[in-house]
Amino acid sequence: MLPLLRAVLLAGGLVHAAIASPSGAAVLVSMQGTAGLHIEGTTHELAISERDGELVFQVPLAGVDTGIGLRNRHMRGYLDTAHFPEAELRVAQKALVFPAPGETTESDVPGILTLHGVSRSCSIHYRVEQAGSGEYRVRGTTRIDMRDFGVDVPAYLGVRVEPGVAIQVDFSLRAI
Amino acid sequence: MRRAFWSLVLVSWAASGTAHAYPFMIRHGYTQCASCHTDPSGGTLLNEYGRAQSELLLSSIYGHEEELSDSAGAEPTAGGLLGLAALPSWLRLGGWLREGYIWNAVDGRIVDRRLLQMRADVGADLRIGAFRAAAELGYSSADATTFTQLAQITRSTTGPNLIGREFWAGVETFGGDGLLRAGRINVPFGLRNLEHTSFVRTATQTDINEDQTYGVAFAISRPAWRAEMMAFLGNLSVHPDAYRERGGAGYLEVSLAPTTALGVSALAARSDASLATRLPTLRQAYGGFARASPWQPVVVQVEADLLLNNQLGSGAQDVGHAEWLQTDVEVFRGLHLLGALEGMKTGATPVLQKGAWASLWWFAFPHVDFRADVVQRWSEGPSTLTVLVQANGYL
Repeated sequence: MLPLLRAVLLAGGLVHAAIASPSGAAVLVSMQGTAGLHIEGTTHELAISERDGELVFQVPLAGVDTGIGLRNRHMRGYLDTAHFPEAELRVAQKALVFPAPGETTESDVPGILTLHGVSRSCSIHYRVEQAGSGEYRVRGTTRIDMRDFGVDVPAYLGVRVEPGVAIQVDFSLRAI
Repeated sequence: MRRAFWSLVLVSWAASGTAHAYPFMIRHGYTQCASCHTDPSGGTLLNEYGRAQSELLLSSIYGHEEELSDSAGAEPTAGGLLGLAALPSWLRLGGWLREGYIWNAVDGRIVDRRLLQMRADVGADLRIGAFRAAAELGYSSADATTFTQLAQITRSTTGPNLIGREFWAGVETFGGDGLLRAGRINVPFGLRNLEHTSFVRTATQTDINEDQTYGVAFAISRPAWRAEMMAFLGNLSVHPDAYRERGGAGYLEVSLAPTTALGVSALAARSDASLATRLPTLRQAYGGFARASPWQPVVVQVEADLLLNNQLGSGAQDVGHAEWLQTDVEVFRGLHLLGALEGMKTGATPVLQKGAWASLWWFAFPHVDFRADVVQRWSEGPSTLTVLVQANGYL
């Protein structure tokens, strides 16, 4: 279960909303490999909190499911989830722009991603749609190179995964 | 005449070997074939990764999957020849043994029943840098000789034969995503389904049992699409040369999602003497195919092909078609229930033929599977019913 969160978003001075816990969260990690191999890992565990003027997104990595139990175990080994159980993304609240009712905002925002115990700056492309009745639908995407985070490029029985990883996060928030 | 045709179909099924190709792996997000198979368009010989997947995804598991995958013994053993022997990284070996029993009935009366030696092959794959080569050689019993002619290396008409379904050499390109090769190669067309007697495979002459031909092919596999094109130089197992088809074939399949793919195929081949009519013929086939897994236990596959046969010099043209719709339901890991409907109309058989398949397929253990098929077919004459049970083991 996702913890109940409350955060105050100051979005370009336009929106001041109290946000409850995200719902419908889906984190999708996509990788490509040898001979057209395509691997996707998913998890629905996403926690959002506020810390020192930043929004902090945390994803427990042990719950990422790639569809094959052994592959999950290998992934946990490459990410060393025993020592680094979470991926964390921090984004300055003031850099975010939330849309007016009935509108959609799409923009890029800088963030700090921590993975495998290594923090690196990255750029997040995000899209926020206010669906009505105070609900915001959010999608954020970014692309990282796992080598930048000290993660070995996985190879298994002659199949190698490319170091570039696409990450997509979807969730909904409701203003209260 | 019609009865003779059906007899031929039934007997050829009985006598022919079968090979592996599992397009239903799309349920696990594998829209590509090259990750697991030596042939980039799928079929037969598996690489180490493919063998591992066959253990991890195909076979029944006896225990809780997560617990098993977390155990120290979870690593598949197939990469090194079942763990029995360590192989050099550049060499992969394989072998297949398939035995079956078949009953054929016409209008409810059994006309044929017998034990089948379906496949006894060995295979090898070399991968040294960008160089690739693969070959499969097999034994065809005397009973099967007449019906493995298209893959024969030796040509005995009374005794057993050595057969070679595929052997080729080539080079990898585009960082391993592409493969340019020459030799005896599976014809790239449509679904590479295991049911080599299905109408879509027999009508287009593109099964992976014996319809391979000699030529040059280029295949490429990318995450969102895959394609292969092949130029035919003729099947050297066919004699004399007048019967050998020259032309080309190819397909393009696009992945709309990790579990959905759509493809188109085309084939055009000319021979001085068609094996069916003994007349100069231009044979063409154009079609579409699709695979989708809307829910992981369910995979739907469909193929529809337009068939054109031109009798060269006379202006005569036969127009036909062949269709295949199959649903695969994996009841639990390793146990599949399959149902299929098919249709075919060709110049040689101008009456619409219809077929229905019901199958049970159990991948009981790694490298061992059992399958039972019941196939009913209807046309103008009496209906036929075929029941085939088979056991398959492979390295």
